[in-house]
This record gives sequence, structure tokens and C-alpha cells, in this order.
Amino acid sequence: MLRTTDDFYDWDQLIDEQRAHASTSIFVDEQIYALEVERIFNRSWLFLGHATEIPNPGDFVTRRMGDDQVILIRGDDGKPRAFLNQCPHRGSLISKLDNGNCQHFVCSYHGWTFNNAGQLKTTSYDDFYQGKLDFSANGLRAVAQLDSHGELIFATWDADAVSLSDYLGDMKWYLDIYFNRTPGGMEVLAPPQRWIVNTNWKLGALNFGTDNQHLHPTHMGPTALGILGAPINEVVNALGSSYQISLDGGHGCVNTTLPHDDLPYTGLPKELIPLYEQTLSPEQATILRRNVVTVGNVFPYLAWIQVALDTERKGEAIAAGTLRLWQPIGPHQIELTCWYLAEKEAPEAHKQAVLAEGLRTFGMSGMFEEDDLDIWSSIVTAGKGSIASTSTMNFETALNFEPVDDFPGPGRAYFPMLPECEQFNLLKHWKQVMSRR
Amino acid sequence: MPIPKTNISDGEYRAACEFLIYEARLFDQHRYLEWLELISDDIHYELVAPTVQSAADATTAPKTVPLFSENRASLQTRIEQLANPAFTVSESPPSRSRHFVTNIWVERGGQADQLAVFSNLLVYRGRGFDLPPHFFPIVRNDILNQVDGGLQLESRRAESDEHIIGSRSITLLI
Repeated sequence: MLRTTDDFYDWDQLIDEQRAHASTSIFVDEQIYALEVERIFNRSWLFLGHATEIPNPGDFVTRRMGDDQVILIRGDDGKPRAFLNQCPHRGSLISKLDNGNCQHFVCSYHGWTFNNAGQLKTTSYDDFYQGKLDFSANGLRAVAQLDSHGELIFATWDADAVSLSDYLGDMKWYLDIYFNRTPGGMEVLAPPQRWIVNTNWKLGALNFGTDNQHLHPTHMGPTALGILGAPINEVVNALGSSYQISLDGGHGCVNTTLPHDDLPYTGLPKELIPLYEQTLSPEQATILRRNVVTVGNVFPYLAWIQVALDTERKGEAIAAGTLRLWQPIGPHQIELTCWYLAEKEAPEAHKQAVLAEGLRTFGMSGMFEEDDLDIWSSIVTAGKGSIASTSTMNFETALNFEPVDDFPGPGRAYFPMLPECEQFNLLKHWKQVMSRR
Repeated sequence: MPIPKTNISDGEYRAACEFLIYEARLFDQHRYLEWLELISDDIHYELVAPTVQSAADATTAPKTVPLFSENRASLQTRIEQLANPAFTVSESPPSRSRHFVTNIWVERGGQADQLAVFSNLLVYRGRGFDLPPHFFPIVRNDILNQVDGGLQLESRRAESDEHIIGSRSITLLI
């Protein structure tokens, strides 16, 4: 049974749809964060990991769902499962590791032992229970539902949640362009980077879903250094001719695509082009073929970016980026968790280049990333003030644009991509979920 | 039992120490372009973080998380960004940094003209509004070339002691 709390918030004031303003308090308030855990994180489908992180039976990684610690493990039957990382006997962490492989978890406190399907096998003192302990009811607590889209593994604590497929909805069409585009699929190139940023998780979600006005003021530096893998005039051309996509469920993305086919599949290996075209629909393949930058955010907090990059400035583009979680650690902090992926079929040299270009641009030491994080941290620093928290954030450019009907993909498409339409739609969805008892 | 013999002369040890100390001074004074003159053309420069793994499970290969993977060209790009306040939000104004280099151990490298240099590094980074400042605990395994006119950094494999890095970015060099 999910914990519920009565609330006294005026949601229409916090997210003012007439003015397209949002209260700064939603990014700093402790009680609102506590409600987010209940109403968003304990009810949504949350990304847990990529199937290639746990390729073999017994492989596991430890993760979080909302404010809970969980274990994602592949059982001896090959199925991924997720459990609360908490011993049902006396509450200690079952695993203190980041990753590993095991047949059994043995609790180091009193020796309760679970197999990799989460079943209690022995308490180490079974005789003392005189046959009265229900072993089947004392396994590791499983998530309510676990499912995958391609190799992206998600879970939810809500037994009544819609299916993962329905939850992702039209976002699947876009996710597939970037994470499910060859027969073999993608593989993680390393364990995820994890680091602590003093910001609110929604600032990442809004930026990737999708803030297009910040590109010039925030990222002028690396852009001027010439590390984009497409000519700057072409990138500007693409920014001017692309759409932002707003999807039901609070998801959103941008596919910054060239208006022509003169630079096909920029930064992607030639060997894979036939695989893309055999795996994707013609409309999806056209987006990938013309793409120079894409960002997206799956509600609440899974995001991606892929950019044509050339940090060594040698005239060879590599399409690289990350898949990441804005994992909240309270209202004022996130543990940014960041994976780098490439197609399994890609040449080894391309995989290494994707990893290197990704690290150098988006990640703990990323030349683009660090400027975003500096700003998002400053928003929370400023917003915690008692006067500042009563201010509102302005999304008014969202008010002047309606969806257009000449975009070939699913969802509501806005043109141009620069106004704050999808960002404010994300906040409207947030309000809808938060105000649902 | 005596400690292992390193077969390194006093002069070589001193030169390696001076290299690391001078380099740290260049970093803390933001003299990155001068640092570029101390590295080899085919430098390999990386920083990784550990993951927490079972000591008992020998079947699990060590998994590390890459944070930096650089060559000369990418370091040149990073340094041009750091050297120009117009090209960076997060280093404008620049962070305060202080590189503390300790525990320097020098051995003969793989080639006769190379030194293998191990050092501990603690880097303070303070960035005005974003409190508290952070200390990065790092161990470095370097290969230094002995070339005409002194030493040159051939490779650096650095490892963080933190598996979850407690700071929002690493904008500086280590």
C-alpha cells in the first residue's frame, strides 16, 4: 500500500496555466519534494538500467527508485527482476555493492539468505521458527511491475500503473531512433558515471525536455571552439527548421534535423546505415539521417542527448551523448547517473570514440555539461531564499504557439523549436500527477 | 624486510618531484597553455572512478567508470575553453583550485628513458556560491619521458577514490 499524504497546495497557483508561470517553490520546497516521491516516483515507471549491464544470470547492479534502494538482478532463468535492497528480517541493506554476480544474497546481519529470484531459502535459524514462518511471504520485496522497452529496463512500485508500453506511449517511437535502431541493439560502454549536483531534478528534466533558448547563451563557448561535428551554419540551419515534440505522459524531445540530405547520418558509422534502415520506419530513419542534435526527457527523469561532435577538431564527426537519470536525493540535490552507449554492431574504434566524445562533452567533465550544472545549481542556491521562493519562473513564450500538423512523427509538434511550449507542457503534466490524490 | 629498491638516482627522484610540483603550480595559476608544453604529442590522459565490488568475488572483473579520456588534441580544446572566460560559464570567474601532491614514488619506467611516477593528489576546488567546496582524492600513475631539457608527461592514469563524485563537475585538470 502506497503512503498517501493530504496536501494543502493550490496547484493552479503553483503552475499558472493562464500566465505560463511556475512557482520557484516547486524546485526548492521540502514538502513538495516529499509529495513528489509519493505521487510521481512511487507511481511512475522508472528507468532502472540497460539489459547489457546485467548480461549473465546472477549479474546485478544496485540502483534507486525514488528515495528507495533497489537491486536489479538477472535470475538463473535469464529474467531481470528488481527488489528492495532491504532485508525483510531486520532491515539492513542486502547488498552494499554497485555491481556484481551472485547466486545468493546472504544478509550479513543474521544470515537470511535469498536466491537471485529473491526467494528466502534459509534464515540460518529455521528450526527456531518451528515451521511457522511463511518463507514465500518473506522473500525480498519485489517491485510491483518490471518490464523492458528494447533493452531499457523499467519498474514501478504501483501495481495499478498502466503497462510500460502505454506509459511510454508515443515516446517509444523516438526512443527507438536513438536506442533501438539496429537488430542487435545498444550496449553500455562502461558502468554509469554518478555524481552529486546541488540542484533540483526538474531543472534537468525541463532542460532536456526541452530548453532550446539556452543553447546560445549557455553553450556559446564550446560551440565557438568548433567542437560540433557539423558545420556551424548547418547547425544553425537545423535549429531554425526543426520542431519540438510534446507527448502525452509528460514526455518530450527535440530532433534537430537538417532540412536536406547533404550530410547523411552525421557521425554514425557507414557500416550501420543499412541496419538503421532495416530496423527503423522510413520516417524514423529520415530523422536519424538528418539529425545533428537530439535531446529528450521521459517523464519523470530519464533523459538523453546525442550530438554530432568533434572535440579533437579533426573534421571527423562522432554522434555521441548519454542516457541519464536526474536521480533526486531530496529537493536540493541529485545524483546524476550517466550511461554511454553504442550499437553492438559498431566497429570497436567507433565505440571508443563514442565513449571519449561523450565524456568530453556530457558527463562529469563534459565541456557542455559543466555549464548547465553551474546554472542549475545557482537556481537552487537563489531559489531557497524566502523571498526568492515566492517568485515565479516565466514560460510565457509557450502561450503564443500552437501545434502544427506538418511533422511526420507522433505527438504535438511545435514550430519553431525555440519557444517554451514543451517545457511548460511538462510542468502541466507534473501538476496533473501531483494533484492526483 | 626492506622496502623494494627503485634503482632511481637522487637526481631522477628530484626531477620527478619538481615536475609534479611545478605542474601543480601551473594548474593552480591557470597557466594551462604552459602545461601543454610539458606533455608529449601522443599523451594518453585519463581519470577513472572505481565501482564498489565484492572483494571475495574473483570472477567479477574490476569495473571502472571513465571520467576523462583525452589525447593532446582534446586537451588542447579543453585548455582553450579554460583559458578564455568567454568560452566557459562554469569557470568564469575561475574556480579556486589547490593541487596538493604527496607520496611521490618513482621507479624505472617500461623504457630506459622513462620514469614511472606514482603520487597522491588532493585537489581543492571552490566555486563561490556552490558550497561547500570540494576536495577530490585522487591517485595518479604517470609515465614521464626523460627528454632533452627535462621531463615530459607521456601518460597519466588517474583514479578517483570516490565512486560517487561529490562535486557537480571537474572542470580543472588533475
